[in-house]
Amino acid sequence: MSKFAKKARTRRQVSAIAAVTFQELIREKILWSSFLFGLLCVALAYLVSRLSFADNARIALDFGMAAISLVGGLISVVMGAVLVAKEVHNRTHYLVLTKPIWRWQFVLGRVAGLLGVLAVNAALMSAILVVVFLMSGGRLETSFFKCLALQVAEFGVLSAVACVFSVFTTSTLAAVFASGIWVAGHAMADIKILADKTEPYWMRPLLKTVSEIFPDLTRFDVKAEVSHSLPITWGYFAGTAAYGLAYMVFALAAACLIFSRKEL
Amino acid sequence: MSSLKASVAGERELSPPVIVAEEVTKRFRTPGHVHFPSPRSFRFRFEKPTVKVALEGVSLAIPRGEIFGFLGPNGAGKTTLIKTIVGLLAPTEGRCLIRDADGRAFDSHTREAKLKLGYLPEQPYYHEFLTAEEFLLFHGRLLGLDDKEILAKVPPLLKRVGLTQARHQKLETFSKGMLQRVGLAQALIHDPDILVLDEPMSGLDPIGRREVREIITAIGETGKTIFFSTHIIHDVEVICTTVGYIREGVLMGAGPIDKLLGKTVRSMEIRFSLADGRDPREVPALKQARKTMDGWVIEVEADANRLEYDVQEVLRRVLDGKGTVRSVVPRRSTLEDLLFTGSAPL
Ligand SMILES: Nc1ncnc2c1ncn2[C@@H]1O[C@H](COP(=O)(O)OP(=O)(O)O)[C@@H](O)[C@H]1O
Ligand SMILES: [Mg+2]
Repeated sequence: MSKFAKKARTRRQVSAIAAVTFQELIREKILWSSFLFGLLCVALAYLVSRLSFADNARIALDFGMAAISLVGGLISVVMGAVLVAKEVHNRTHYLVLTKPIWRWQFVLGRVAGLLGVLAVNAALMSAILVVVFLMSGGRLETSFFKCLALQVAEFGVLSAVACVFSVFTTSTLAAVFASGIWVAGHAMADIKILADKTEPYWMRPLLKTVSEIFPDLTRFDVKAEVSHSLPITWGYFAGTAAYGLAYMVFALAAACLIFSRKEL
Repeated sequence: MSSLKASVAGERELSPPVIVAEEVTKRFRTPGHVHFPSPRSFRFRFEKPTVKVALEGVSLAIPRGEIFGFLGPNGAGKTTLIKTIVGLLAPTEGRCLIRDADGRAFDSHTREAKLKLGYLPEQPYYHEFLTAEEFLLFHGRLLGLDDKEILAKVPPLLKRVGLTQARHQKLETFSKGMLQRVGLAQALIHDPDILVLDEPMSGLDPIGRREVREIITAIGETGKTIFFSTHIIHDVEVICTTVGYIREGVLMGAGPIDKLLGKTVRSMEIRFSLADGRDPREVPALKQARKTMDGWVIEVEADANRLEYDVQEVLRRVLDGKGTVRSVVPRRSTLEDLLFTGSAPL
């Protein structure tokens, strides 16, 4: 078999796993309840913007983007934590891993399926947000789309991190750990400051390590810029996207490595 | 008489092995635990990490075309050996090999080995939101088959396991027996030489068991090698050509079933009657006789060295008493006798 055909086969196997994962995840109640919650937020944003005298469109936008960020983050953390642990717990992985595939293909397929769910979710919610925003008299700018793309990059990082926990612990613990990283990642600016100043002093190296290992999720958060119509430069955008991608690759490599060595 | 003792019905040539386990040992390390104080016990308790030996130097070679029944009580290590054969577990020591028709051997965790195997796990769990067809499509894709190829195979496969009607039905609506059968179809998509089935009949009702048994027998007739585990002796007696017996991680032995069952004569049953309806129990050598509808029967225990002598003694006494010998029948062991007495000459 040629190298090309082998690569194509490898890709087909990963996408078969991704497709089944997608199908599995869109049946989850948590997805739909988070989605409804997000819609509720956007609707609320619309109502609030109607009632206030201030810049209606801006309020709707702020609310809507916060909702997208929250719902997407929640889905990434919860579903990422379940991604591998549930398969192992339900023993559905036996049939898959006795096929001629590598274990990393399994992990990547699962994550790809989740990313698909996240992308669809973000697309649906932002489509609705765009409608609301335009109805409230807002004007769309490219920064809005940059902001969305960076949001999705953050979801990717979060899912990959949750997936690392998912390969070696139960889904509950994985969700707890991943939520911790989600919160810490958004508090990264504070953690970095504390790492230099905190008392007792022995906490400092600990915080320093945390700030170096944990993903800096504040970088992906450009909601304030969009809200205030500040420009997001292409340089910042590309740099942040690259950071997200690199972090994801790093986390996924760790997940694949751990899973390959795991006794099943 | 001596021919009775050693008669082996129809001894046959065995093909070269396709599944080989070489001195496979598997040790599981269970991590230690700390029990924190609780209302029940106020002390800290440390549970040391332990090592559980699930398989101990198991060597096995299954010839091509055999239906091999892997017997053993629960917890004996059947699933563990099966998982090493299908490449899910790495043995702590030793190795498992899969051989192809040309005699090339592949380690069981390699891609080549996996392509030759079809596997049905113990109490299989599926992605139950898939329909039977989607399920087969998914597993076919994992095997590297084209969608067109798989879809062409779906109808004959489903027919083979009796699920033609359920093609577009979701697996979550399937009964246990149907799930087991769709699992068998999954194991057959790529037409593998070898099938490895872990307790394929457990948890099924009698009808379900028979359906699965019949499918396995039919697959066996196509020349595939089938390795299946069970803790139920009857399954093995009905469909297997070869058996192995494992207990506490140690393979007690393995071999062709006809050989095993044919080898051991457990006792000789002699039916006779005496002239004038005399009671044989007055004769010293015939004290053990029991009355039957039409005469007497005596069972001579198979005591290795004395069997011939004992049988001849009984016959002589009967003839001396002007009696008639109606039949002399060797009672061979069933698999159950062999396993429970632990005297299996495997
Ligand atoms: N992952 C594991 N970790 C620790 N012990 C295990 C593990 N899997 C199996 N065992 C132990 O190994 C022994 C054999 O188990 P198994 O192969 O499942 O038996 P069987 O399939 O014959 O019922 C059992 O005592 C079981 O407790
Ligand atoms: Mg078992």
